[in-house]
Amino acid sequence: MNIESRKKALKFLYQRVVDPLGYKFSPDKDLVDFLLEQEVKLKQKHGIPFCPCQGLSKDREENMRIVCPCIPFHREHFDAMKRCWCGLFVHKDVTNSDELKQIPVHEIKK
Amino acid sequence: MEKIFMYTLSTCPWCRKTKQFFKEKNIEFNFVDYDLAGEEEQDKIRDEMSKYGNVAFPFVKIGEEVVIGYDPDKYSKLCGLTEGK
Amino acid sequence: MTIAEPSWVSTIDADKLLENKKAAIYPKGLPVLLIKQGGRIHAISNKCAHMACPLAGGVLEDCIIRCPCHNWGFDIKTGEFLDAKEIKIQVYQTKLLEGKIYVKI
Repeated sequence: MNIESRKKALKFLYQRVVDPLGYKFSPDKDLVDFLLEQEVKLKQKHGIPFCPCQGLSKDREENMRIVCPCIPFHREHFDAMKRCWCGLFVHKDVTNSDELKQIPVHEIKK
Repeated sequence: MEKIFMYTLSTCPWCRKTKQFFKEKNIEFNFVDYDLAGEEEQDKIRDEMSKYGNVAFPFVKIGEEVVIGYDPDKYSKLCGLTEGK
Repeated sequence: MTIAEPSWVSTIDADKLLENKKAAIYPKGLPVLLIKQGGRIHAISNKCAHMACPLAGGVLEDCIIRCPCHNWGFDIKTGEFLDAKEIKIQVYQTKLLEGKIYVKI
C-alpha cells in the first residue's frame, strides 16, 4: 500500500470514531493532509499512529492516550478549544479552523 | 532582545509554524526536536517542561516566560513586537 | 439488497466456554467474541471500535475487555467504550439450547 492509500485508510477509520463524539476533520485540507502523512510515517516507525503533535514517553499507558483519535482521553481540554491539539479534528460547527487556538491544558483548568 | 529557546516535534505543523514565525521576524532562536532526541535527553526535557505546567509542544521559552502552543500574539508581546501578528 | 433480520444461530458447545474465557466465532461470517463472565455468556463484536483490531487477544477484567492494540476498554454487557459512551461495539443476545450457545445475529 502506498502512502496515499494508507492515509485514506486512516481517514476512513477515524471518521467512524470522531463522528459520534461531535467532531469532524478540519476544513483545512492541507493541514489534514500533512497530519495524516505524519501519522502514516509514525505508524510505519512504531506500528501505531500516534498524534504527531504530542511527545511519546516511556510509559505505554500514557502513550496509548495519544493514539489518534485521542479525543476521548482529552475531552474537556479539546472541547474547550473546539479542536484537538494538532487540529486534525474540530467541532462539527466549526467552519473557519484558523480562528481556533491551541490553549495549554493548565490554562483551561484555571 | 530576550533569548529564545524552544522544544518542538519534527512531525508537528504548529511547531513548524512557530519556527517560521521567528524566522520571518528575523529573531534568532535555538530549538531541540524532542522526537529526534535520545532517550536520556527526552527525560531531561520532560522534567524541565513539567515544571511549567504540562508536557506539550511547541514549548517556547522567551527570556524567563514560557508559552505552550502556537500563539503568535503571545510571542509578539513577549518579544516586544508591536504590530501583533 | 435487503438486510436479513437477526436470527438465532447455533455456535459452539456451552461446555467449551469456561469461566473468564473467550472464544472467537463467526456466525453468518461475522466476527463475534463469546465471553463467559460471572456465569453469564456475553457476545460482542470481535472488532475494536477504534481501528478494528480483534478483541479476542485482549485482557478481560471483570466486565471490561481491553483491546490488545491500543488499550481501548469496553463494557462487555453494554458494548460501551469506557472513555466515551457515545462509542459502542455491537453486543448480541445469547441463549443456551440443548448444550449449545446461540447468538442472535
